Amino acid sequence: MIINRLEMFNFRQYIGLQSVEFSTDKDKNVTVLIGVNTSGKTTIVRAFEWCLYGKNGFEDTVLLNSEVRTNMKESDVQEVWVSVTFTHDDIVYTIKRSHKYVCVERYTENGRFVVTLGKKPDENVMLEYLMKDGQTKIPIDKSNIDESMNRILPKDLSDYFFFGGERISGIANRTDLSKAVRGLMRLDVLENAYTHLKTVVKGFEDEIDTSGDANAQRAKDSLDTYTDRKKALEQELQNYEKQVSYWLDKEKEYDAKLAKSNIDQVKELAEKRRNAQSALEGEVQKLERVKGEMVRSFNNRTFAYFGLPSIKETLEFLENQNNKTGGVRESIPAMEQDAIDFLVKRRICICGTRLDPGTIPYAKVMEERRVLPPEHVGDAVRQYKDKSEGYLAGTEDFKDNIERKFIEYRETKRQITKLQNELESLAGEVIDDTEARNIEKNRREAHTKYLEAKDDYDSCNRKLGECNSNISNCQKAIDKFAKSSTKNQRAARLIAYAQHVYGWLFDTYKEKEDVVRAELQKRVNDNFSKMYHGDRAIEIDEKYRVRYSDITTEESDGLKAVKSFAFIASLVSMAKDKILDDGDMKLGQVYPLVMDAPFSNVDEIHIDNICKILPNTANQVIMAVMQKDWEYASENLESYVGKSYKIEKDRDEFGKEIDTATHII
Amino acid sequence: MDQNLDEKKLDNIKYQILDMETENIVKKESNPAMVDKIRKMIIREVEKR
Repeated sequence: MIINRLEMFNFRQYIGLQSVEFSTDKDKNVTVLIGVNTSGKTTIVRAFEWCLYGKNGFEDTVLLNSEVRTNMKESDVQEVWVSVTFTHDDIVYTIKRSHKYVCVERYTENGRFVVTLGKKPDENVMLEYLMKDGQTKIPIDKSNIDESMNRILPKDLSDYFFFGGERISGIANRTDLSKAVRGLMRLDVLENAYTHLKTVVKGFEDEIDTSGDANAQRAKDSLDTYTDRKKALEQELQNYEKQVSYWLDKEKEYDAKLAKSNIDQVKELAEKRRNAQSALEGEVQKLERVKGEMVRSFNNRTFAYFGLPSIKETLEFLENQNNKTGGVRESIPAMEQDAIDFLVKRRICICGTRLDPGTIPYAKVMEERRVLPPEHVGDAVRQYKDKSEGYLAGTEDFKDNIERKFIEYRETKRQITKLQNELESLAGEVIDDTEARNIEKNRREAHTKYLEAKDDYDSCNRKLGECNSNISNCQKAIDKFAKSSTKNQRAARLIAYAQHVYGWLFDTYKEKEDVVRAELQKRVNDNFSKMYHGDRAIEIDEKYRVRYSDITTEESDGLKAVKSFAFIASLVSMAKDKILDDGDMKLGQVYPLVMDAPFSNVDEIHIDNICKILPNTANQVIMAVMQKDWEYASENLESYVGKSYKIEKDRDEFGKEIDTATHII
Repeated sequence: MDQNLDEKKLDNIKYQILDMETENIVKKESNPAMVDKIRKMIIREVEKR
């Protein structure tokens, strides 16, 4: 999304029609609107928000210009509107939102006119896009406008794209941003695609007629049950995951409180516990790794290992037999008796020798024929030996490998028990401070709840695994039956295609979501370290919220602003760099940054750092800045400015500014 | 489903679905309407000679 134009008509202090064209130049991507305090900079950001999402952020919710309002007479109707023209996916859209106000009463009070407006203004909103011919305008159905806007630029993230210095602090504590981030990175295209396709697959499956086969019918019935169960289990698993994360955070929070205590004993205990906890986490991870390696080693050539004694014995037996006169002779590979019969019939060998009955060459060839398949055991012996030797290769250290892994596994388990006991005994130590004792009590409760939630999570995960395996078995049973009739064959073919594409979409989605999370984490920290001149680090949590790595850090409004800048700069830069695009899949998007007094809470060093980063991360930057801030920011931003405007108030005959008549020039 | 699938048909289906879903970001058709469109497209592609 790139914003081309903003038009406002009688909107708040802006009287008449105001039209602002924004720079869409790639190199000079900054548009700056400079004004003094109270000139109407915030109103510009709010005009965007109202027009795009219907958000009215004003204390006095009447949007009509006060001067226009004062001049209204009873029954007069006046309109206020804002329209935004923007380009998205190479299509030009215009959204226009208007309110019509009716004057219901007009009277004079203390020598001034008072105009009362109807309680609810008549609202109208219109979103249309321009066809590629550049002439035809196609309106979008009114009931879909909110959803469409939300998908072009998610409302949940709008505070990040349209924000003001004064309220940027609030951005730091948002709720779940995952849906919004997914939408912004266009992961929702993949998500919607596989969700819809899942229903399509189900429809094809229902078309398979299983009425003639009891097993297939049972499998089909069970498939529905297991599919429903899977859905419920996935939901359950998500809830447990949330609980695990919640109690773990709580435990960490209490831990951090204890670490901040002034009492040495408490601090020491917290420190010991943190060390033991971190060692325990390491050992648990190691246990999982060793377990995996042990299973992999075991699965590798298991059959050969267990068959080793009997195979060895058989090979020795064959070798002994071979050494004896008349032992089992091996055949020539890939040759059968038919080949010899052919040569004998034509009476000439491959080498040109004549094969006449009674001659030595004839006798030799016939001797070879006797050990050739299909009649002779010699061929089977050769094949058996070849395969057995292949099996045996690489099994020599099978047992030693498993044993080594098992010893490591046992040692790790012992270490885990030791650390768990240590943690248990640390938790039991008496603390000589009432407040710290209470925190410790809460911490232990949180830890117990965490363990319970973790157990529930693991058990649910196991059930989900069983359910997946049952689904797969049912599908196999249906597949087998599906080949029985032409109608079923057709449905089976459609299912095969649809399922294959579903799998691809689902895997691609998961893979790309991981990319987004990892990249966002990396870029946020990178940008934060460039903008912030302290030594704090930040991270992205599971809901894409920005958190400090040290959860006890207290923050100023300035720091919150820098944190939010780092987040949004990273997000737009990822969209700008189209990190998810590959081959024919175009998921990357471009987004603007519209800022009101962005530097009001940050110091000069931060302004300097932020200005160096912003034009290079966002595709378009629109900022309404205070004259004094611009003087400083322009040092780094001037060369990126494509368009510049001044926000000015009209003056009366005495040269005094009129608050209700502002213009953008 | 152990069937031999035509790679070209699979690619066509993949990219058509992505196209349809991208277009639907703005058009926002209902879920049943999208399911029906995708279903018809898959049948058309699979049965195309």
